[in-house]
Amino acid sequence: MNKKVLIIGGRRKAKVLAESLLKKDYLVTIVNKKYEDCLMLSENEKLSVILGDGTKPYVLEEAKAQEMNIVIALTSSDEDNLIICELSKKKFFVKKTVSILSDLNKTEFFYNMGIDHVVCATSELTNIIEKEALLDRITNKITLLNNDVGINEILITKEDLSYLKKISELDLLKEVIIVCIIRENNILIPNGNTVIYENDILITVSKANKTEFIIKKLKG
Amino acid sequence: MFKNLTSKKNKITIIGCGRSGTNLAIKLYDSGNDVTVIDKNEKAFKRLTSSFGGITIEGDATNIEVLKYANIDKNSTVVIVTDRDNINIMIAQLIREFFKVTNVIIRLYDNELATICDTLNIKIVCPTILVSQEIEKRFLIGDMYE
Repeated sequence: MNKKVLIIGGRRKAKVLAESLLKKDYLVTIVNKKYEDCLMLSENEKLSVILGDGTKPYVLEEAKAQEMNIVIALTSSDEDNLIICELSKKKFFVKKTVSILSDLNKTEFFYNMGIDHVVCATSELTNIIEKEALLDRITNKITLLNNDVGINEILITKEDLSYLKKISELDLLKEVIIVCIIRENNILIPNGNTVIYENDILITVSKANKTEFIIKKLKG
Repeated sequence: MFKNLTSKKNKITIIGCGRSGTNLAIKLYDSGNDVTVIDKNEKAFKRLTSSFGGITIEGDATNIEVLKYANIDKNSTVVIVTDRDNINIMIAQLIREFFKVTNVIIRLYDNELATICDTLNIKIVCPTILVSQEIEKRFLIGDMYE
């Protein structure tokens, strides 16, 4: 049976997400409180669109929230998203709820309130911009566990501080672990005596806020 | 609850300085309590009388920093009466979660939202229900038996 998804709020975000989910054979319902947005959304015939305030229990009932596998809250106010997810969980017993959040400080709070997945739109966006801005220095950057753990992929060139140095000489302390080195398509598990060469790709794991420190130590 | 609060000095934070918030703030201050009022609009404090000697804080109470600044601790009583139900619920939950306050009272116009607060031990006052109960009690019950 096709999985059912309910998306609440979020104009363009809702449209893009819904279209992507439809391609994966989900049944998608959208609730939006603006008439114009509903008109825009209903251009796609496969979408069920409901005009109404998704933080109201009777609107969620009309949208058949109790039959949904996933409820996704995309409104621009944090409190509305919180209420939508809590109502879905506690009143309509939806298994999985997802919410976007603009205030990063509330991430843990949202999880504690029982929301299954919290996406902090602002921090995701700044992460991407930061990644782009640091692109010449870092090839890839991933953060895990509510942005606590950072994984970096760093390409070494001849000009870099760590070029031809042993790992033990890098003074990375216990803050950073070099998990592996990718050298000519081979994966190498390094130890303190491993020497870093040109075109090596270093994969590091550390606290997410150590990125600057890592670049300084490896690249100078 | 009111009796309790009038007998000795209590630390009370009121969030939302509309008609209810103002009224309550003045009454509780006059009966000798420590009262702090938070509203995101400074103009709202104009409603408070000149004799009100409690603290007023201009700020958005959905921001944890503002709540910390208001010096809320677990023995405080917090009353949340902004004009939006969803905001009242979120602030109540934030306060329960971050400051472990036991006595949190909120106003909810829509009683159906009460389900969310049940598990968190948040006290709810619903004006819609109070009004209909009062009308029934004062004007209808007698008629029905005539």
